[in-house]
Order: sequence, then C-alpha cells, then structure tokens
Amino acid sequence: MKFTVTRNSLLNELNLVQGVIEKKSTIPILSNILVEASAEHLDIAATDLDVTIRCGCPARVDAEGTTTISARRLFDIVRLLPDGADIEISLLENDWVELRSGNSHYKIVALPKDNFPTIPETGPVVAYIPGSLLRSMIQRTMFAITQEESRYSLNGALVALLPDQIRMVATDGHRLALVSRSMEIPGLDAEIKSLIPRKTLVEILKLIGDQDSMVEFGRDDNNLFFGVGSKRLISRVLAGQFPNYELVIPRENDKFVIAATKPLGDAIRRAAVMSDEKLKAIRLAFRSGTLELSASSAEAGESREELEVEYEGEALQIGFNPVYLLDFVGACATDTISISIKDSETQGLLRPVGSSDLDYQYVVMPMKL
Amino acid sequence: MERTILHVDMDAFYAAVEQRDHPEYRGRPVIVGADPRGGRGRGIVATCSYEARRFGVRSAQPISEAWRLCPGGVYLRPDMRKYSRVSGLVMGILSGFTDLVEPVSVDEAFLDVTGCRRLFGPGEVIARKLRERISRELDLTASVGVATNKFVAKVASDLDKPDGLVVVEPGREREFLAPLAIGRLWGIGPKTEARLKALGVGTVGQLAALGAGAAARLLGDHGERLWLLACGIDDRPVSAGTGCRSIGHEVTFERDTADRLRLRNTLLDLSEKVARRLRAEGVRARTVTLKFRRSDFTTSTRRRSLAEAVDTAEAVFPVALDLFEGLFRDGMEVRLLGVTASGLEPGGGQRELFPPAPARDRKLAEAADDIVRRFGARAITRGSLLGGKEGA
Repeated sequence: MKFTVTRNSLLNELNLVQGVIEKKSTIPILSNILVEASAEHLDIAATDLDVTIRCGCPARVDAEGTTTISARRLFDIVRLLPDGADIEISLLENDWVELRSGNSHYKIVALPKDNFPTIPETGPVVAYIPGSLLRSMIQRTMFAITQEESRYSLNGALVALLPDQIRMVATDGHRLALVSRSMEIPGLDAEIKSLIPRKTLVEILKLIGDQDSMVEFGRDDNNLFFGVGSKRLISRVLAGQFPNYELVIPRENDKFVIAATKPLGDAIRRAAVMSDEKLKAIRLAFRSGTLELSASSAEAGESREELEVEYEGEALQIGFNPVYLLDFVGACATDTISISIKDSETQGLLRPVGSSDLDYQYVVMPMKL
Repeated sequence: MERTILHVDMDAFYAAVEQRDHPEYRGRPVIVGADPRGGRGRGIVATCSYEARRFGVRSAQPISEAWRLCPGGVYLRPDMRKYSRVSGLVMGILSGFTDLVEPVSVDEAFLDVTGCRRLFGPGEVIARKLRERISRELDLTASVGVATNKFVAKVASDLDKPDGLVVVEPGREREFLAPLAIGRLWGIGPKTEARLKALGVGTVGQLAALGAGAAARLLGDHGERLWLLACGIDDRPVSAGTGCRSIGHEVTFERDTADRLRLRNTLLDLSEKVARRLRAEGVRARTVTLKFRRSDFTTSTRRRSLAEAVDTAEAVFPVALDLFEGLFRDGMEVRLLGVTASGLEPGGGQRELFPPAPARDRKLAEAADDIVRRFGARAITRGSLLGGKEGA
C-alpha cells in the first residue's frame, strides 16, 4: 500500500471520524481506523461497533492495500503538518506505516486489517431528508434525551417519517421536545419510525456540517444508514418501546404567557443561582402583566426578580427545574416564546412565537414546591 | 453564642439489651453477631459485652477470632427488631430534653441543648438527668460527652466508657484533645496514622501544632478539616432531619460462592432492602455503590451516579447488577456483596411525565412496604428470591 493525499482533505476526514472512536475502548483495534487505498481513492472507516462511519478522499494511489492506524495519533500528526502539504503514506513490513510530508518523517505502529470488525453493508435508501431540516430538528430535540443509560429506550430521539410530515421527539421522562414539519418526504412509500441513539445524532450533525445537501436515509432490521455525498454513517437501531409521547402533550392548558426570550432566560439564570442544590427548583408566579421568578435554599438564601410579560388571567404559581427551561430558551431561536399552563401540578407547554415552518413544542413537568 | 452539644452513646448496646432481658447472661461475656459455628462461622461481631472485651473480643472482629479468644461466651444472633424498639425508647427520652436530636445510629445520638440550658440547667446537669432516666426507665447505661461541638463531645463520650460522663469546659477543647492518639480523629485510618507517626506526629496536639498549611500539605484535601478538628474546632450543626448520608446493606455468604444466579438474587434482595429504607425515610438516592469482596478478601467498590434520584428496587438493582457484572468473572469466588445508596435528597421534587411504569413500581413497592410493616420482612418476597438468596 502506498498513496499520496493532501493534508487538508485527509484532515477533514480524520476530523469526522474522531467522534466515533471510543476514547476508552478496551478493544485496541477500535482505536484504529481502517484505511484502504484503491484506484484513485482513499477509503476510511471507523467504528465503535454501535456507530460506524465511512468516508474518504481522493488520493494518488501507487500501490493498493489496506491497514489500520491509530485514529488519534494520525489525527495529531496530520493536524500539525502545514496547511496545503502533501502526505505520502506507505505500508512497511511488520505492519508498520511510514508517513512522509515535506521534511517530516514518521513510522507508526499499525495493526493488520484482519482483526478490524466487519463494516455493515448499507441498505437501500428509503427517504431523502433535507440536511438543514434534519440539522435543526436534531438541535431542537437532542438536549432532552435522557442522560441515564439504564432508561434504554430514551437514549435516543424518535424520528417519524409520516406521509405528510417528518417529526422528531426526545424525552428524559421529565420534559419532552417535539419538532415536526409538514412536507412530503421524497422517496418515502411507507411510514417509518426509528429510534436514533444520541451518539448517532451527534455524528449526523457533523456529517451534515453547515451544508444543505440531501441526507439519504435507509434502514434494515439491525441498522440505520445515513448518507451525505459519499460519506456513510451506519448506526445500530436502538431497540425498545419509546413512550406514547402524544398522550403527554397538554391540550387543556388555558393560561398563556408571552415573554421575550432573552430577558426570560437571563432572569431564570439569575433566579436559579439561589435554587436549592438538590431540588434545583425555581418558582414562577404569574400575575396580570408580570412574571415573578424566585428561588430559595436553606443554605444559600433567596432570590426574586420580576419580569414584564403578557399575561391576563388568575394568579398562579408553578415550580420548574430552571435547566429544563433554559434548554428550550437556548434552542427555540425566536425572540418571543409562549408558555401555557393549566395548574401547578400538570405539564407546561412552551413554544416559540412567530416561528418558521417548524412546529416546535416543548413539554415540561413541574416540580413540587 | 457558645453551643452545648451532648454525645450520648449507649454502652455495648445489643449485648446490654440481651443481658437486661436475660438475667442468666449477666456477668458473662455476651457476643452478639454472626453464628460462630464452633469457630468455623463467618461474618463478624456486632457488639460484645464488657465481660467479653476482657477476652480481647471487639466489635467488627471476625466471629471465628472471637470464638478462639472466648470459646465460653454466650453467642447470640442480633435481634434487630428488639434493638430498634429499645433504640426508639432511648431516642424518646433524649427528645424530651430538646428537639435537636440527631441519631447517628441505633445506639448513638447528638443533642444540641444550647437552647434549653435555662430550662434544664447547664450541659452537665442535662447529661446527668438523661443518664439517670435511661438507667431508671430502661435499665441500660449510656456514656455521655458534653462539649461545645460534636467532635469533642464524641471523643469525650468515649473516654470513660462504660457508664461515663466527661465534660469538656468551653475553651479547653484543644487542651483536652492534645494528648490523644492521632487515630482518634475522624478520617485518619491506620495507614495515615502510621505515616503521620513516622513524621513525628503521634498525638492530636502535635497535629494541631503543625498549623493549617502544613497539615494540608501532609494530608491533602482533608488536611485543613482534620487540623481544625485537632484544634477542637467543629462547626457542624446537630441536624434533626434525615441524618444519614447513605443507606446500605451487605451480606457475607455462609460459604464463598461463584454461583452467578445466587449472586444476582442476593443483589436483588439487597437492592430491595436498600430501596425499602429509602422509601421509609422519604428520600431518593443519586448514587448506587456496589461492594464486592472475593474469597481472598480483596475488596472492590464501584459506584455510579444516576441522572435521576431513585427509591425503588427496579431502579437500584439494574445499576448494582451492572456494576457487579463489571467485576465478576466466571469462577470467581465471592465472599461478600453490599449495595449502598447515597447522594440522598428529599423525595418528591420533579414530577414525572410518564408516570405509569415508575408509579406502578412504586405503588407495588408501597403495598409491599405495608405488608412488611404489618407482618415482618419475611411476609413478602420476590418469586425469584425464593430459595435462591443469602439471608442477610
């Protein structure tokens, strides 16, 4: 194996695969990427056995061949080489790899490809999703995915491709983010619902980058496939039953508050400083035209702040975890938001006001005060 | 204002209760703990009477060693239900003096009597009165330490056991502590003690003389706290609330076992017990710790923090099992397993969006709790535990 690539194109690809490589893997070969030189192309694959990425870049190939190289080490070398340099990589005997660029010269311990896990084949494409849409949907839901690994079926977001709309939902059992958009999805002939693991969502965001290309979506019994250009992401399907989220979206919340997003976020942050370290609750008291935010803890003291809001209705108090509110404030991307509530015991519904064509709903369960 | 803190410590509590209830045991060495099985028994001594201590028997000693030292002793299994009933009576007497009673365990409590000195007199008088009531009403003895803070009171109660009363006058804390061996400080184990001794720091007074900076350099993160204690400074309040920082259960197997199913079932049983106590105290835990001891006594603990605070076996057990799977290998002989919940916080708080499943677990758990309260711990168990677990 012997090939030459430009430093910048190789760096792009190595950047992309770093997220898939497990930092603490107990299986040494999983710290490596599979490097395959053939014809005019260099193919790269990385996997943690759950998520696999396949990418590559053009190369001048003098001798075809395959090996595996430490992802981290190769990345560290390549990123330190000068912009625009050429890199020549060749396989030596004893599975070492030689890397030359300008006056720099490395010999790197590699591992033979035989032990590298088999890369799953990608299945047929069943739908095409605009990249920018998928990106905004992930950004508006991913933070609500549970951090608790034992709640298996909540360890990802549910994506539903329906005949007339695409929808993404994530929850940790205390709050739920739901975003949907009405559209006919190119390529779709049957309804699809899949749970996408959190790590896969992170990698999809990297795959899309800031471009607006179409994302190809496919699946088989075990895996989901995402394709952008020539790059492929293959993810194990997250098994398990996602909860019936439609049941918890409140329909009877009759008290509406409209607040300016940024001032609300700032006020929540200031109030939360004094929230009890363990309970982490802040109190929202709604009165005509005003929202009072307050927090207290036996150890620290208390905080109180008033914010002008649009509200006509009876006075009402409700407790929330400030972090949950701030997550939405950060993700909603509009200057104004609405909060609708029924009473202090049932879930509140937050929505952006004057939003784009994305329908964004965020359900938060209150806290006992 | 100068505080007045009492530390009340019942003398050889389990053994004393047994001697009180069985006059034939009085004057004899009584050892409460695991079944000695003629010296082949496993597990440890929970408490022993002062007669037994003369033979060298100590609490937390392996029961086999106790048997070797004192083969003629009266060996009893602990009757926790009885002790906890008597403990309730003791705490009841204590709370007759002040609301600020912080039970540390069944036989030990701190009292802050600062506010009731005008009613009952100075700390020493209160200590005499409560010792007298415990002796008259319960026929048991308690040792009491009186000081301006918890640490000094605790050291004082231990100084003249049994049936002792030691008062440390305000301002004399440092002088009182100075001659004591360094190992008396909370948080200094045998290893640290040996290291400090090698450096010429053998007494509490010598540590106090080092100064805060040197103590921190010698002892790391806890150095400054230990130095403050050595100087007799401890501003921790007596908290009458949920005093315990963790809730745990462990079991030593009758015979070391490598039986995965049996180990798993034992973990389930321990998780159940821990969860039941969490619910009983109205708290939830954010951290689950597994203790794992192999037949060669190598002991590992693994802990995991959870995103949500939990109080059901359904939530504790999978974590404990997962930690166990990380340590256990086929064929490994296990001597002891323990499950501890910590990072306790008040229950309630965040409401659940999808209550059915957790609420069902909880409802079931609450119904089971009720049955246990009324009919005892053996009245209800999981099907998978029938015959398969280790009695704790």
